[in-house]
Amino acid sequence: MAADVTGGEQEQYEYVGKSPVRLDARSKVTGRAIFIEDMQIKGMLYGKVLRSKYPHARIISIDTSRAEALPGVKGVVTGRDIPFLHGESLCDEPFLALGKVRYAGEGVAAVAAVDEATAEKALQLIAVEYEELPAVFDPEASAAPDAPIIHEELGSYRHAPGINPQAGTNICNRFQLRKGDIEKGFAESDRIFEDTITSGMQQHCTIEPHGAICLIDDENRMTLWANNDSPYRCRSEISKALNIPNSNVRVICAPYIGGNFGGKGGLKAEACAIALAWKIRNRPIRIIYTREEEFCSAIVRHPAVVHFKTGVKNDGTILARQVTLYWATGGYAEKGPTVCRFGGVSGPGPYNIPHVSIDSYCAYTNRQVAGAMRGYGGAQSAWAYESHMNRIAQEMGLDPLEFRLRHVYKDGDRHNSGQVLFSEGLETCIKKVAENMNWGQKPKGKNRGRGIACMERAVKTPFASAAYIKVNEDATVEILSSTTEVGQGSETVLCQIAAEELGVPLAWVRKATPDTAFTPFDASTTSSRSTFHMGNAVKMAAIDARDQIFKLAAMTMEANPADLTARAGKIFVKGAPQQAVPIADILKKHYGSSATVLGRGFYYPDMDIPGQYFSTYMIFWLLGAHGVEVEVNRETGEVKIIKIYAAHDVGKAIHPSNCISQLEGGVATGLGFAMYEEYLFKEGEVLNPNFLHYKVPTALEVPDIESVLVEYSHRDGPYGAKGMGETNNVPLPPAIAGAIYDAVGVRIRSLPITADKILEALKQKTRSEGK
Amino acid sequence: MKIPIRLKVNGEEHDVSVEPNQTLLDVLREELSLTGSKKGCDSGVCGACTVIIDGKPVLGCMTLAVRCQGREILTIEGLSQNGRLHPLQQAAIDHNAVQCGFCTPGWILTAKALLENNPRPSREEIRHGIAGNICRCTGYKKIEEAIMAAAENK
Amino acid sequence: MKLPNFDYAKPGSVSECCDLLREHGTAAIPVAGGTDLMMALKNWLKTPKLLVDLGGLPGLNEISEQKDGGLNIGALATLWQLAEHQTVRTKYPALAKAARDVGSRQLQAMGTVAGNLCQDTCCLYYNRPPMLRQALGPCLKLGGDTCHAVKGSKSCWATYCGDLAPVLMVLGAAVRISTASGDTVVPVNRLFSGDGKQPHTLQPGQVVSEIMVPAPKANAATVYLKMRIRKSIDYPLLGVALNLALLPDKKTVGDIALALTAVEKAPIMIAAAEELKGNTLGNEQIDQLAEAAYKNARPINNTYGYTPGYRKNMARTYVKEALRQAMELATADGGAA
Repeated sequence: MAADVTGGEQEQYEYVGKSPVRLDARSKVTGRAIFIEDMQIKGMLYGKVLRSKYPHARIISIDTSRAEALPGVKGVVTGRDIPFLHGESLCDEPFLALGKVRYAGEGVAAVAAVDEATAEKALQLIAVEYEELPAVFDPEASAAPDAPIIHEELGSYRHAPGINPQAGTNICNRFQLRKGDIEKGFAESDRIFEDTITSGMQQHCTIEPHGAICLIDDENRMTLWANNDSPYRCRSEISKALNIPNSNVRVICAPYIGGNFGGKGGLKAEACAIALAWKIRNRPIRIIYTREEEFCSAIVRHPAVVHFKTGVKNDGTILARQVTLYWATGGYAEKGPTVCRFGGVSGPGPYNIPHVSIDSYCAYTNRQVAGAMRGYGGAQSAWAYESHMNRIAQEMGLDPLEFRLRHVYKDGDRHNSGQVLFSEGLETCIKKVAENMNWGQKPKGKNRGRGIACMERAVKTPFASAAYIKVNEDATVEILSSTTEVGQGSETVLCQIAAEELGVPLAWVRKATPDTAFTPFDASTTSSRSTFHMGNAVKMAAIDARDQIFKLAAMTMEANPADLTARAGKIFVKGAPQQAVPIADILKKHYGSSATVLGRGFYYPDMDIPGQYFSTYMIFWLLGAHGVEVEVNRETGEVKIIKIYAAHDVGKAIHPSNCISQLEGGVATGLGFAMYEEYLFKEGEVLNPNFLHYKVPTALEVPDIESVLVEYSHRDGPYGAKGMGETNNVPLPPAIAGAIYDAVGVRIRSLPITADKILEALKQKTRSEGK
Repeated sequence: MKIPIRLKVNGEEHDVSVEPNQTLLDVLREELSLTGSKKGCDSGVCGACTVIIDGKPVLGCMTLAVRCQGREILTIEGLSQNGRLHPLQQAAIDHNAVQCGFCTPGWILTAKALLENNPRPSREEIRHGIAGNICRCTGYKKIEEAIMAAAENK
Repeated sequence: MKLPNFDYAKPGSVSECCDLLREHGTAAIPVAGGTDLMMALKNWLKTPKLLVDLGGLPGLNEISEQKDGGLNIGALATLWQLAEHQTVRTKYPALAKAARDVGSRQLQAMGTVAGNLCQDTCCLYYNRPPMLRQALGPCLKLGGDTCHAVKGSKSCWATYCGDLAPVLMVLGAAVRISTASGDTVVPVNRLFSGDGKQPHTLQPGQVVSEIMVPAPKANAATVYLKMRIRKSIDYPLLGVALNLALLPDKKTVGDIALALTAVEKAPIMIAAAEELKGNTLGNEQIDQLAEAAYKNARPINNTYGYTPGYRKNMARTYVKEALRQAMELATADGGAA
């Protein structure tokens, strides 16, 4: 690995910008870290779910009597026992199927029993009678007027503002944007390029499956233990769906979550456990998904179809771009509406283009529910617009690098959304990649080629984060924050920030496990928002706590609070560190009598934003670029990736080693999307729901990566930081496709890019050149 | 019908009664409360349940507990001695090779068996060695670096 | 999923084991490394009444060089042992490679040589948990009357995907089949029935106890090329094993054998290779053999990765590459590499 950090003036910080040992590392390498599957509660029952075998069918009857009679079974639940709908932005999903099933793998009934084996046995005793309905799988076909309707009730669903479900169709959200005059733009162009670019289904493949334990008492008070990424969002969804007050729902996250990538939001195992607990009261009931359920019944990345029409002047200036995007959201909307919005607003790419037209449609299909996954919307749209950009550049004889730099957004440019951009480090990312791969030089060797691609992705805006900082009487510190530790390293980063501001050793700071009964509100641990939003909140809370401590210290030390500073757990008057007083000494005087120190922080983006829910103006944009060098085997179509170059704008790396680690992991996931991972279907049925046939890259697949953290400081970020983990996968697929074209002259427009596709394209090329 | 067996895990002997169809992974996790071995896929691919039996890395989910009588089983819980981390554990921490942590016990044990077989592996040999341990977080680079470092410090 | 219930027996000798297996007939299944069987049990594809544990049977896990230069491999020798064994690595490098190409290191540590040979055929429609098999109903291999992979087929198309079999076949290896009443020795390819549903010829009460590999010839080289999506974990989408022995002139083919795996219901020998004996290997001969492989490979759409057409085409390409590599090795100084 090679990595370097660029940009930003380096201030002297004690912890920020350093890479201290992760606070969770020791417990994880010793196997002591607790995950949901490690949690046991006395009297706990084990739940299993019977799932639909059809992609689209009406449920005629469900007979659970034989299952209920099985010794060891404590109860069986079906959708009718809990006839409510949930959903984050569009409320369309039952806890278990209600009336009909909309994808193969949907929960139809669930059993709670004294052990898993009994529950599994009971499932086989449940008889379900279905009437099969015509199914639709392609998002474009589903959006067409004659498609079989998947949600007849679409018009009646509760939804968030800004979401536009089209009643009577399968379109659960539509996003449109017009800028300039698209027809005029085309008319003035010298050349028109049209492309259709598609991407398939990808699964998060967190190594830890979804899990939840739910206990509901007979006063409708619920405790839910789960590996959910966002306890408040989860609580809100439950409380709205079941119409019970927030305070009746307590969501406690497992101490550690074994991977997320967007997959552990919403209600998945949670919904099944809640359904069982809603009926079987006063018993904790556990659901842990199997790997097959992970593939068939959790969520996936939206397959997308993207159409482009772009008008370009002979001098290489893009005048107009029309983009139409279709997102296959599966049987239920889940995050689909916002995926459609984010993917739509970035549909033309991060480029200055005078005339733009965007139509983005989120369509139900009878396949797996698609939701948030690493770089959602962005991964599909960047694959599309960067492939399209490469084609235009290559066909017009333009340098793909220069072509991008000419159009790419910079500070002060107006985004297609209308936002005037600031803290926009994308140009630096592209240049850094080009520099590292010596873009100007031709690759050495036959059948070698190079590609470059960049991307932008929204961070969900405007959403809030709150944090409390509790300073104990011995000056140790607890951060109360609902950010979950899913592997991204937030626990460490937030503790670094608190230690920095409070002037205490990092070892004194701990972060509490999220629990809606104690840790304050946070919108979500998603969208790469935590370092920025929660980082700001923790910083504010720490400053607040520090001010409180200084006030107490000022009395003892007979000084003005404003003259005090803290370092290494001691307080002193600025410039006089030799007369430092331990913070603990100050606090001991007051604790239990006159003062407790509780700092409060609350962050909400400070900017002009049109609309209040999932704006198209972003407090920051996730930005990055990748470069790839490949060698293609003309006999087999196999691609060898020589090296990957990546640069992402992090604003300021609070924990550089973690940032690099995120980046490398993202690249591996991008590599999977680009070249390995794909769902196989027989109609609506998944044929490869396992790690054997769904090809997550292993250590042997991931090539050398040269990483750069671009520190293009953000005006509002803590220490200038932005989020960075979400989109490190995003620019890779188009960079690879571009490199393959550069090497052997064939263009692949669908993912994954496999040897058979390349060989077929090579043959076609030979045939057409022979003519 | 349950069969009484004696399992030797991390140097300790445990008398347990197991059904012939119980996997070693389930017995370790449920009967012996050794939850450091993780159930990732339960189908012999991800490697999160890797334990070491008689010096070789073995998948707990693909092993029947009843077949482990009399064999030496090492799980992640037995790797550190009296609070002193194994060099691979220390290297994993020092090289920031841990993210979500779910695959970590598995690859550390696989790497231990690898290094016992080949104390000075090349980077490529390390990749081969851990290619049965899927990690979705790290992209493997820092894992490889940690194993290289642990091998060099031996 | 939890495994079905079964009884467990651990016999102390091969003959005791064969007795048990014969006595219980199809209700009993022998288990060696268990890596193939465990998934069949987890998916409830097999629901034996009795599991007969071959593990630890004395003398069955050794790999030993014979006086005549050949190699005897105990049935329970693990793939890991085979891959790491010094003699195997130097005298039969393709066999060591094939063992290292199986699954992952963990599966190599568990899986045995005989178990690898005797692994069941695979099909996406078959190797699934019960709930996922419901929509389409049972296939031929499950006792149903339709093949979901090949429309209208009356025979099961589940594919044999073992890595060792083709290599052992081109090396001319034989297996010892033990029964309670005595042993028989047959060539490796006789283990395979060619039926996707019932891919092996072993009868209840018979177990493979040893594999005998003849000594390599002079100026000979064996190559195994495995096509797959990932460089680890995956079964082959095509496996090509080639054994080439040149006459002392190092030009004329003295002996040649070619076998393919993962493209039929059994590993297949390509008979056309015989015709090259006594010839030198020019482009025409190479094309001829590649073409024969292409014709005999019948991959179907029952696994993940690459179209059947591509896989069939690759049989041609891979055979050419195998020949190129084998020629290079066989003509290199020192002969067998």
